[in-house]
Amino acid sequence: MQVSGVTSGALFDPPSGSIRQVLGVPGGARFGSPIVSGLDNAWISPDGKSAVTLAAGQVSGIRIQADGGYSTTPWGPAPDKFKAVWSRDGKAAVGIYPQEDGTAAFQVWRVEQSSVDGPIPITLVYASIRSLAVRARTSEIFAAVQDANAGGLYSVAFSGNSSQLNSQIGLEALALDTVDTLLYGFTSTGNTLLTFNTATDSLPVAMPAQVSTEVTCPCSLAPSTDGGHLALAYAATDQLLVYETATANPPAVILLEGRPEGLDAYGSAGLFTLALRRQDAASALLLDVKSGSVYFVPASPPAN
Amino acid sequence: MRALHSIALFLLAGVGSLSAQVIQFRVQSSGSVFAVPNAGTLTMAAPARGQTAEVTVSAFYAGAKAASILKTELLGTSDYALGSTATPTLQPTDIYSFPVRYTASTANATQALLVVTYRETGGDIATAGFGISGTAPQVVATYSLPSDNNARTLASGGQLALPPVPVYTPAQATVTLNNTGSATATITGITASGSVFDLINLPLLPLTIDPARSISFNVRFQPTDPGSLAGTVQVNGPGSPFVFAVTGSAYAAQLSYTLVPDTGTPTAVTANSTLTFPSTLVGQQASLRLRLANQTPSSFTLSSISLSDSTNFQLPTLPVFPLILASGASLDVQANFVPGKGGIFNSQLRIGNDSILLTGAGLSSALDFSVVGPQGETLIAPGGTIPFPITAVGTIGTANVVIRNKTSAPVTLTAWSLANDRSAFAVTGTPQFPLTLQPSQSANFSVQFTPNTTGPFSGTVVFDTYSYTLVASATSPSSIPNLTIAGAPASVTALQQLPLSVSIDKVWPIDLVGDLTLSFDSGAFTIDPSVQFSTGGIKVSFKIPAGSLKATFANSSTLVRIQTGSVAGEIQVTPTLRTASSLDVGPVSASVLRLTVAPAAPTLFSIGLTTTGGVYLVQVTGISTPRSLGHAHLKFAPTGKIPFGTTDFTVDLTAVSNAWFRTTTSNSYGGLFTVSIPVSLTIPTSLATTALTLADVFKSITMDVDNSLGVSAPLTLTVQ
Repeated sequence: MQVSGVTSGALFDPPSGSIRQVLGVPGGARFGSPIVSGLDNAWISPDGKSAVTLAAGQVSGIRIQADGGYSTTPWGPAPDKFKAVWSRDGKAAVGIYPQEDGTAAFQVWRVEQSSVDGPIPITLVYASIRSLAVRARTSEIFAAVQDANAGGLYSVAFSGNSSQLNSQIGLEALALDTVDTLLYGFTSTGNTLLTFNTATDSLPVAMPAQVSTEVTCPCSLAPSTDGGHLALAYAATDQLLVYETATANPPAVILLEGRPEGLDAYGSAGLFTLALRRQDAASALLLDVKSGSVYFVPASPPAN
Repeated sequence: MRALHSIALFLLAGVGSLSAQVIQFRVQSSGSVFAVPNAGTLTMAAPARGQTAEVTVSAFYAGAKAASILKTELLGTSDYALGSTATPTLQPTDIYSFPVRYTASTANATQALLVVTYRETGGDIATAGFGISGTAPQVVATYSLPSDNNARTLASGGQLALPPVPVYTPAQATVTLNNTGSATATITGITASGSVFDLINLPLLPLTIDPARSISFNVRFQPTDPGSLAGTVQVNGPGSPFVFAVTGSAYAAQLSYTLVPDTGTPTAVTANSTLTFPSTLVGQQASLRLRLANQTPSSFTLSSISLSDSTNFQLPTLPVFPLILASGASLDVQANFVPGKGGIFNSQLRIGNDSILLTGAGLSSALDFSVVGPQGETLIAPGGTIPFPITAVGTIGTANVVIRNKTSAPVTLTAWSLANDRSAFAVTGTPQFPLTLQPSQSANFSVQFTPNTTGPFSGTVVFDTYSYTLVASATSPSSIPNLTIAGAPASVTALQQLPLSVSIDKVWPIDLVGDLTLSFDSGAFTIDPSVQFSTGGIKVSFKIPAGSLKATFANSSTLVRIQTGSVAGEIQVTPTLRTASSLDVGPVSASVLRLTVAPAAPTLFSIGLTTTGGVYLVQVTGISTPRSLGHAHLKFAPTGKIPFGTTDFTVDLTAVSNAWFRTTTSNSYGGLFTVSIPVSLTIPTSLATTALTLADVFKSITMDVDNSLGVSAPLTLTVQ
């Protein structure tokens, strides 16, 4: 039996260029000491235990130890326009970037391995890829592609083979549920949120939507870590929508103080990190969908 | 009778012993009575030469017996006369009176002795008496002419002859009145007759002229028509009025003068008149053209044309002299005004015997810059200083400036600029530039001095070539705005994030900056590090722009959020306020915002169940603002698949709680905690071989936690 503190997760803190633990809970949280510093960017896994980092032109994989230390897996030089996407279970990260001919290539890091696969070229045009969702369990990437001739939903194997699952929908954002079975997608065609059952390859089912017809993307779509909620943010208005995945209820509308630029599942159930176009200087924002509140994590953290 | 006189003691020759004072003298003159001691002197001033002064002398017998007056004598010239020769016998206190007259045959002082011979009963013959000084004023006039300033005698009935002058040309003489007599002369009036004669430089009348003193005045002759003219001047003084004749003659001008403008109608000008040039900038030139015409029936020879000041005035186109002008002929003369410096200049333009005064104002600049104050406008010299009143920080000092075109031509200013010291000066209210000012037209603008710190300030405002130094001084602010921190109730709860705003109750003309600083006073004797502003840390800066009541924080927001943390205590938000130049305008301590986070029973956030190495851990996270825990209460809901013993457990957390909250590490988490309680299952032997999951044993686990203030709401974990 013991009493200890509360740590709600880890975040990349752009002002300090570091990955830091967040001590406390939303409403009473603050940044802890840096775990990894000197970073230009970082993509942290949903479980908060790993990260893909960009520093001094190099991409690396970071595994955060329980004692606050970390181990590094080098990926190599950072390609231009590189960005990383994590699988929901935090077991694999995919880095994607454009090649000289405009098509995309990607690298795959299976966290439990000390090497990185790739680069693996694919035929999809980088600029047409709107969103990715990674499923480590099946070693595949779901890609939402907007292209006049080849648009649709694709499945790309970690080997590089790709197949088009659906060509009729203009998906803007993708997200897998916590058990990597349901694939959520938001399409700007009709402003509709769709659900695919990847286990059965069922036709997409439209979820109840309360989306303005003026919605414009980029959009962000993320399920909470417990899978109970699905949050959709889009850049057109100062609000976001939160669906209860277990019900057919209309989404809850949460008003924000600025235009959302992105969100991702974070820490415990019902929490998301949130990026707003207008926010208090350099503070991080945490969205608690259960209370419908947005909390800041104070910026410019003290050293401890 | 005009006789008031000083009395001086002296020994009277021939008069008897001074010890015989039984006869004493009193004199009555012009209604006043005064004593004259034996052997003293009585002055008798005649009103004028030939006139008489008279007094009554009273001889008073001061003895105790009787005194017989044997003889009364007046020893002196015939100017003195005694009015009585009586020989009375005087009893004690008797008075014997008799008149004494002085008729001045000369203005010089003369002397006489009054001697009274008497014999007191039983005594010897004795004398008593005093001296008499007879005086008289005499006014003698002289005059002088400016041509030579020689003094000339001027007798009453005489004549003062002034020299001939052209019409409208004044002639004058100085008349001096000298008192050559021995008494003070009184002048009661000086008047002149004749319309062309007047008196100038007259002193205030009546006046007195002491002996050997003089006064002067002028007699002026101002003819308007040709011919001889006469008048009189009368001086009312001692004796008969002093009257003399004044004569003068005037002759007609031989030349007529006309001012001929470049455009417009010519204007006749008389000799001895004044022609005024327009105000002219130094180094520039103004001109006029004067036409001379011979208006006599015969030719006229003009000997010369000249200027008394040929430095600031010029005659550029003169003919050769002598110049013969035929009857009716004319000559145009151009006169230029070329001032060499600023100021008023005069020059006599002499044309033969005539003279015309040229005058003009030299301007050192085309524009006048003046500062308008309570006493009116004060001219600022070019390159000079525009002063400001001493101004307190937080207030505005203003200098109102007037630009005035003082020339006769339009002046255009193209631009202005301001060289500023610490941005304290600002020019306001300037008209549209380029700015053209017509002659005599003015424009106004203001220079505002808005200091943001104390001390001297200087700057320069430039309008084309006109440069002026701005000089000001600032003192400490005399009144400061009140600051308010708003947005939060006095009583708050833990884990709140509250927006705060800062405002002042009156606008200031300069930017104010300040800080909000958080401090935390905890009853748990620890500092909650999560009590921070959203911008990070315990200090946030703000700015209140000039003219605004609201403070702005980072990202131009008027709100800054604070986090109340997780520990019971008082959060203090202390503001400071200063100018942008760091001049403190505090204190503002009265505006400290105090937020109290009350101690409360625990609140649980989450419950979980983990297993490590076959050991189950029930974990709850929560908050206890007093940073203490009492007990955990666990209630297991059995599935009924297997027999279950005790389902409710109470775990004393006091020791582990105290141990945790006393560590330095725990300070980082405030009142937040995770309680981990290991759960061991003892499976009955009969079921030990059966593969069981926890879900076979429990449906759920419900847990709450208490502290000294109460118990938390329970959380339930469904076991799956």
